[in-house]
Amino acid sequence: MRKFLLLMLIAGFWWGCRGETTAPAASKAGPIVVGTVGDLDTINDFISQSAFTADLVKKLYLPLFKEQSDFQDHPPTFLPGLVESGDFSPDGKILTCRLRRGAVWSDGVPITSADVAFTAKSAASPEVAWTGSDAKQFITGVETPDDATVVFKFSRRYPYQIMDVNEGVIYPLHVYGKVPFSEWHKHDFSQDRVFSGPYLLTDWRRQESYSLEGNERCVLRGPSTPWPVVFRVVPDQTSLLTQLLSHTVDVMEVIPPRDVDRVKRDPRIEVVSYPDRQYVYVGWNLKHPFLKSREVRRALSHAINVQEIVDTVWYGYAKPATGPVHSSLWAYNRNLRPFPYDPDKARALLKEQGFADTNGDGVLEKDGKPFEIEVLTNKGNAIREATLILVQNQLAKVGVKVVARPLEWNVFVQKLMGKEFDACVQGMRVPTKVDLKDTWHTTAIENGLNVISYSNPKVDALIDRARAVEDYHEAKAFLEEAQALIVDDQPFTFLYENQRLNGLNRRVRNAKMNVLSTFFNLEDWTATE
Amino acid sequence: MKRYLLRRLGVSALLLFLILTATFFIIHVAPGDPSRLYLDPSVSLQAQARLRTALGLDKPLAVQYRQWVVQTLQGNLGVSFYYHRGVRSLLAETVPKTLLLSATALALEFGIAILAGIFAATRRGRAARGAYHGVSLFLCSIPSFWLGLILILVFSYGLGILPPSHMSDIGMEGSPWNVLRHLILPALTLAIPGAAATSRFMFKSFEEVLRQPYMLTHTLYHLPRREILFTFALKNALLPMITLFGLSLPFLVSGALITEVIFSWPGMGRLAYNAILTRDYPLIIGASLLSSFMVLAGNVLADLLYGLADPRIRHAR
Repeated sequence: MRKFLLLMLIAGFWWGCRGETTAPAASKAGPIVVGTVGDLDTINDFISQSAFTADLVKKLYLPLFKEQSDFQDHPPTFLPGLVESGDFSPDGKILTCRLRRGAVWSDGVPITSADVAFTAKSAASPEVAWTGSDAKQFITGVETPDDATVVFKFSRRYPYQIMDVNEGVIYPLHVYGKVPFSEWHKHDFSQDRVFSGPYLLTDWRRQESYSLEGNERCVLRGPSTPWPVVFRVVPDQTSLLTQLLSHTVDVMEVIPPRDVDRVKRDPRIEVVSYPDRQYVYVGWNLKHPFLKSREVRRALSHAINVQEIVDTVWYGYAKPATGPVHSSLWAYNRNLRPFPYDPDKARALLKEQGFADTNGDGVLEKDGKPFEIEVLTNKGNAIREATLILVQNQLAKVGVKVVARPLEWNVFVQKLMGKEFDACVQGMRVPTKVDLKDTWHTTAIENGLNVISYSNPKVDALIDRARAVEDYHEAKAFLEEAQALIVDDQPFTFLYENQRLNGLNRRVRNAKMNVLSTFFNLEDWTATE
Repeated sequence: MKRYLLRRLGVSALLLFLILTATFFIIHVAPGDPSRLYLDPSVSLQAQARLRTALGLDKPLAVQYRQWVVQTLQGNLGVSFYYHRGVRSLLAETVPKTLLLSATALALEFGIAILAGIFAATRRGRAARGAYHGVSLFLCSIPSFWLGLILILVFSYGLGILPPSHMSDIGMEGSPWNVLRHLILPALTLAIPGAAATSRFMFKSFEEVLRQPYMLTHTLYHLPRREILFTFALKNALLPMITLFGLSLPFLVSGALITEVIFSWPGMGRLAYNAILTRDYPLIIGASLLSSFMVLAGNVLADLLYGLADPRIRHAR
């Protein structure tokens, strides 16, 4: 019996720790180890629910074009990817692309226009239900006159045609095409590891790690093979930080601002910071009887000390936000200034609107009702929760009582989408394609993310005109005017645009992290011992 | 006995079905679903609706429930919404890893508890007993997440002798020795608070056995003290441990969640936790099925073991 138990124990131990053995690293320096909180859910971005996956998939599959981070003065430009060259027809409604000669999948099968057409078909399939499929709404057809040529037809000309064509990567027809679209959500694509990008996914252990090795067959391969990279999944941010500090991992995305000084004290680690493409705001529900007044919202914005929030919560690694377009984007209105902090003006404005503390309890009242609002945020995001507490304290000073209510993400989203809230502290992640329609247009109250029910006919008209014009200079003028009007209305109190703070071990060389992605030039990274 | 066993198994199966049905309705009624994870201007409401249809979430709840019952009775646990893989294969991949951690922790917990309980019960000095009570009370009050971080701080970053996370080092995935090194800290994190609590039961039980008249008889016969303690006393004092052990069995699959997160241990607890956050209904139900089964099986097993060990209980049935 004892021998049996011992055997069972050994068998159980072996069972628990069995697994494939990774190939040894190509160099003495070993692979670059990236610590990540998120896990890779699939290698098919069309069915993924993870933003992290979308970033990584671009290293496994080539897109048609490579988006550049030069969108400060104009819409982003593109370098050739799978497409070697392309031309627009005189009316701008037809884009003819020629694919790169000699491009092959990692199994040696040539990449052809059929792969591009297949990917376009899958992107539009309701059975696949890709959440990014709206980017293709103006593409009316994809034709393949020969193996190396793809023709995209558009319903109209507009500034983002190449960006929309380029949304998503290209998948292999000879592999993915074997799975009916209706089965995509049930299919384990990890079995189909045929890639075109600079990296191959060589080892994948869910919840543990995944390893990338250079793809020798990538048509865009540089002079040397990309350095091996291992992504280690560390779900707890505190554990991840300690691993960065003990040099077990080389790269950590999103260091909490309070820990930045601690990381900087380690001479072997560099803190890389660049603007994060998001802004944080307090959104006021315009259906609320007090908050529907523009003057009241302006008073609340005057009462909020954004600089104090930036200094206290972000330790200075953020700057006040000024409007609904992120300051890193070409359409940003550079004439806008942060809404001034002026509590006296806030009190005066509230008094003008008929608010007064009649019972001496420190809370203003109007028509017998106290000015008390519930402000939601998503629980677990320590920075947002701290921001909410500061907002609560600052508004209390002008007589507005805030009930702070952090909620679990799903509950929070349900409350927002159901418009069952007074106000919320929330972040807006902005795509590089500037379009204010889904957040600020009146139609987005019913069909979009205009959860605060903001409606201004002038803003609607400007947004529509910006979307209709063919030239981005014209669009910029309309968008700048729309931003000025929105800021004037203060449906949001725009709080801050923060920096993204990444930790990088100095043994990693050539890493150029930027506003587009931490792994923008991953294939160029190298490491020393 | 046979009838009793059949009745217990029947009741347990019914209970399991009711638990899973309740889980099904609770998670579907809870706010959010996989299409609602986005609050992104580039993901339209129409796109979210298409995703709901593709996942079959647009059907009435009664229809979804009927489909789930039929499929579960056929032994099909469905496909994870998040990982796009069969729930059964995901559980088969992660449960052994959780079992490895929890079984090691359980073995450590009971080993330490029995030794510590005996040690304390055989001390006569007040100071020794007082110290034991103080230390055990302190240890069983420690939250495991805190203990885990302290162990990492001391043994990984302070002394640098044990790895702080994961099941193995990069490139050493097949090495049992490497896995053993990674196992030590999470297993201790799980075992120490439990051992402190369990040892107090053992202490009390052993102390009572030592006071029994038959133990005095053994002493009067001048039998060696070691033989008295470990042959006669231990056997009787272990009885309550059987119940505790049976009740601890569910912990094998469900008790290691926080420890798995802190030590990045790729087990079932983390998988289930992530499933809840992402509203991965098939995976939540699959994990619930396994946990509930372990709870019910643990209870039945504890009853049976107790019956086997104590004839009075057996006869009472």
